[in-house]
Amino acid sequence: MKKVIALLLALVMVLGLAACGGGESANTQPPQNNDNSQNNDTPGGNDNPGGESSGDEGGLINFDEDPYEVTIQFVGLFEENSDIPAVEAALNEITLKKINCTVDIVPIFIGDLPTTTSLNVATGEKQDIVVAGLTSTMISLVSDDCLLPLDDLLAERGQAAMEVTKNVSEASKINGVTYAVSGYPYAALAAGFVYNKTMADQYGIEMHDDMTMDELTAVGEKLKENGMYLTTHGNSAQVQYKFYHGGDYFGSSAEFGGILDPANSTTVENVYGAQAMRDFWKVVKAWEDAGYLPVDQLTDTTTVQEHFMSQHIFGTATSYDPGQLASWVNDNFEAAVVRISDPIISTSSAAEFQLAISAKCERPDKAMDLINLIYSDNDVVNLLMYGVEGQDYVAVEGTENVITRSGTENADGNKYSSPFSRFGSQKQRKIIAPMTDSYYDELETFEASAKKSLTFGYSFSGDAYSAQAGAIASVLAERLPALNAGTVDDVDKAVDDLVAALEKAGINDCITANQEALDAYLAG
Amino acid sequence: MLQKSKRGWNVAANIVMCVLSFLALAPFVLLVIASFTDEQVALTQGYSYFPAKLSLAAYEYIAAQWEMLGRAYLMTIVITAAGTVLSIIMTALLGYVLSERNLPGRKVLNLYIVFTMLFNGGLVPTYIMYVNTFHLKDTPLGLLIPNLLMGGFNVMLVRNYFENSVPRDLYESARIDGASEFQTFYKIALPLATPILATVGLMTGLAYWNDWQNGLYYLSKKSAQYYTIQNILNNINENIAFLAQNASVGVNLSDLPTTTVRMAIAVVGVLPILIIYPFFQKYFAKGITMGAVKG
Amino acid sequence: MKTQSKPAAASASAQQARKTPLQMIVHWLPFYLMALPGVAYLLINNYIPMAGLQIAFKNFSYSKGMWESPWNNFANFKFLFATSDAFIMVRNTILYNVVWIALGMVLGVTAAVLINEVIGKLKKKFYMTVILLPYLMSAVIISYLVYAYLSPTSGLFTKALEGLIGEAPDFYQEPKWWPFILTFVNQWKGIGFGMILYLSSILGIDPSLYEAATLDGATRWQQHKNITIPLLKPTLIMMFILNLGNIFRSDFGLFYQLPMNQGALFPVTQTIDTYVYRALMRYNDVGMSAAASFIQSVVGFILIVTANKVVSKVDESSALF
Repeated sequence: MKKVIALLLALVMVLGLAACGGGESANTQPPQNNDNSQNNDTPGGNDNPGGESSGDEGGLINFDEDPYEVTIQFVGLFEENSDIPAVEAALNEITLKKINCTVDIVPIFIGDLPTTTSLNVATGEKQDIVVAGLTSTMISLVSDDCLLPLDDLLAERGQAAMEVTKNVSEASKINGVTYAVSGYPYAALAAGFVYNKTMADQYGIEMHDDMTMDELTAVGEKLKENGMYLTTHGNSAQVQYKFYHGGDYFGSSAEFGGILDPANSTTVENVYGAQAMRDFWKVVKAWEDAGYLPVDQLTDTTTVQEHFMSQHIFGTATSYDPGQLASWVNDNFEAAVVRISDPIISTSSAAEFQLAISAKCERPDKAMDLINLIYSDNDVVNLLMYGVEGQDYVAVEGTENVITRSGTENADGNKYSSPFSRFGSQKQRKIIAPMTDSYYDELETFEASAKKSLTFGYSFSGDAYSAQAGAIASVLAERLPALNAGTVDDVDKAVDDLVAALEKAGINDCITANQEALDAYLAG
Repeated sequence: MLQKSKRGWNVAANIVMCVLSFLALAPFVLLVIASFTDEQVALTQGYSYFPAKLSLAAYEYIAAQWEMLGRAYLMTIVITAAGTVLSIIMTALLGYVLSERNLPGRKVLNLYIVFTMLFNGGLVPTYIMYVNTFHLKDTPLGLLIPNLLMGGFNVMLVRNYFENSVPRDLYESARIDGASEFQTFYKIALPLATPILATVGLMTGLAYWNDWQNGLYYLSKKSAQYYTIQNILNNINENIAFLAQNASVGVNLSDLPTTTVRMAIAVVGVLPILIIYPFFQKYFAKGITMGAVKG
Repeated sequence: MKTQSKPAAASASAQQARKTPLQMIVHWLPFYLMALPGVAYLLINNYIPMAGLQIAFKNFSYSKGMWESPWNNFANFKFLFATSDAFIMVRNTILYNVVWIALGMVLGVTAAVLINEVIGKLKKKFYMTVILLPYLMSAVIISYLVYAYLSPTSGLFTKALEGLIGEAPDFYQEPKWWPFILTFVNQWKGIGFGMILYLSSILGIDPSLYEAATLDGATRWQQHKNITIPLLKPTLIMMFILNLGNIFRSDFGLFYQLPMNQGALFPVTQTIDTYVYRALMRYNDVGMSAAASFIQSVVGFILIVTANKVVSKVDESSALF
């Protein structure tokens, strides 16, 4: 049962994010020199001066003691990851010299992540660096006392990590205390619509950025004439609206309310009662009635991705950033993506992939040394992310930082890979073909074009309201999927019923408390 | 007249059993056929007894893990056998003792067992105890001991059987013949309880065979060599669940059989039981029971 | 071992009364030794972790552990009563359980009696193997199979219905069918186990009883009515009492997977366990799930103790403890 919970949690989160591919500093030399550990070679133009010297700072690192082994979680599927020893060996070459420790990469299945982390804390089994934000929010790990406060450690030995993530550091704090370091410091995210470009060309469909719902409706009509579905929403109890219009939501499905226009508003409301949401559902119902959506959406166990890849649907709304398309590339057809909402930098995107230190960590200082090294040494980042060059991946000729796994024994990612791990900043990471070197510039441009959510850094601990949140989640599970799928008879009545049920479950108490906490946060 | 009645019952019984068998078999056949169905066909047309296109893709996907599967099958068999034997012994002993109506403290002992069927401390304290106190983490004992070894329900079944189906005078006569208490249990009680022990053994065996939770919690990458078949199958299952949910993995999902693999996994998991079970059934047959011993 | 057995069997206790304490110990020691492995296992596997029951009343912290975590009284229980569906889920849980317990006994005993009547070893083996098949399938697989039959577009059963009567209901949107579907699947899954369980008790019945009855001219029907059923009574009573203990629990897989999590079906598929799951899946709160489980256990315990009291008044020997 625990496992199922964890698994579903993970599914929800992963689906919600469908995250981007990797990235790496545009000016990094690919680590061709075998002797890299010796060179202390964070490439020139590095934007994190603090890390440059982490190996040399006299006094901080004790090179006389026996090297401590730092464990670090490597969250993935059930890849065999048989190259882990090789990766560890390559890492140790660097870490022994720079921070006098060795690295133990601990592969963990994403569905087991929250349980494993917390059980290890409970028994005191060895566990140093853990992943926070993925599948279980940092705030829940903190309220379970699984994480160590990091402020002192960061100030003392985490200069590089602080420097790289300074723009999003607020997202890693709870009540002013830092518990983690973001692995997603370029945190701008918009809503997008991924579509089958081959199909669009065939049917003469024009897709462009900032498409409106009406324009999507027109696309649906054209597709219907050709016997194709526009998209599917499945049996989803999520805030489907956010995949089309963005917004900031508290709790996993806005149980604690949300802000539909986070760039301009700090008023928390029951988003399910908002007119915009009602209008959205009316459009979806029109789609369903017109036959743009598959029948059986509610009982369909096939995922959106599968439908898309096997060309049963034209496209799907998803989160959008410059790396997003990489997730949808396939051999059968050309995929493309348009942005359909304004980009926003929000707490949730910055907090998705974070590194933290386990509450029972034996040597927090060494764990922090490794975290700091990750943010200052691109070789370490790329070893952790992609494995050993030449063995687990190769560079794509004619590019600076584009790599590919095809042609290596790791082509299927079974030897060393993880779809869910993010180390360092996007700029430190290499990128996987077919992305190109222009990614790094796009990343900058996109980040610059994004507004910051007015509530950035704020997160609501629903601990005191978990009773209400549970009842609300149950109401949402019952009533939301039919609205999202457009299968209700009368949208207005269904929405009124939903809102009434939510209020009965106590959503207004949650929202009031959330607003009070937010106001206090903004004032302080 | 009597013969006629018996024959009538036989016919009626056969009819009912045929209906039940059909109800059980029809979905199972669908399961097997589904596992051989082409993924695209299954996706667009649903499962059918006569699919438009057959495919071995699901089994090929599983077979890719064959090396691991072979070892895991062996591990499963060893754990299941050891667990079942140990369980039967412990359950039979305790059930036998509890059936002794004059045993001082019997009531307390009974309550002691029933209580465990109602209350449990949950995963966290159990895990902490087995890992920190008994050091079962990363050992095969982690598969064998936690939760599965003996359950109150089975003890009650065996106790009930001893109480109601085994005449006490048999024990008395053995004791008068000078048998020790243990000999009485071993030579008289145990053989008489074969049908219930077979039932209990079957249930325990199935529980061990189908268990993946102990492997999940008490094994880690360091001890992956101890994975049982259900751990592997469960891993594949969840792997697929995630691949299906997340397209960023770099696997072309349209080539990957997902639902049919789950069907194939179910078949692969059940098949060995179906092979072993008929051999097991002789213990359900009459003959070793009462009459024989008495006579 | 202070509790002396009640003078149920007068002669035996008279025998005991004549023994000195030392003789008593010598006499019973082998029994306690035989019980020791099982008792010790339950102590370790079940009783020691029961310290974790306190988690239900605490704001659990993984790093502090269950002893050091602060108490929060009944805060963890609040979510169970925060929902307006509390009545529906309790009603569903109990009603399904009551019907299934009764039906399970009737069908299990019938199947056991009937398979015992089948002549021919091979046939018997075949039936026993096949009828156990559903018991071996996981809830996820069963949910796929049920969907294969009932899907509104491609379901084998819906298509057959359409062929026969021209129309078929949309099973996954109409709650009224689900009490029957769930009951059918539950019994279908459990009948193999029930059959074997009761068969083992029937096999334990002394054959000479039947022989004597046959000589007296009793029909097979009379034999079952007068011998089989009465002799199965202790087993049935025990099964009934034990099942009562689980009346506040439900087969999660059945209620969650089978209706494919369809909101429209919640009124007849929501049980305590599915509610707890749906309410907590996002939060993974150990304290709250412990609280739910605690309530289920307490209700079960009260029911078992009460039922046992009643039974022991009527028939001392059938009581569990």
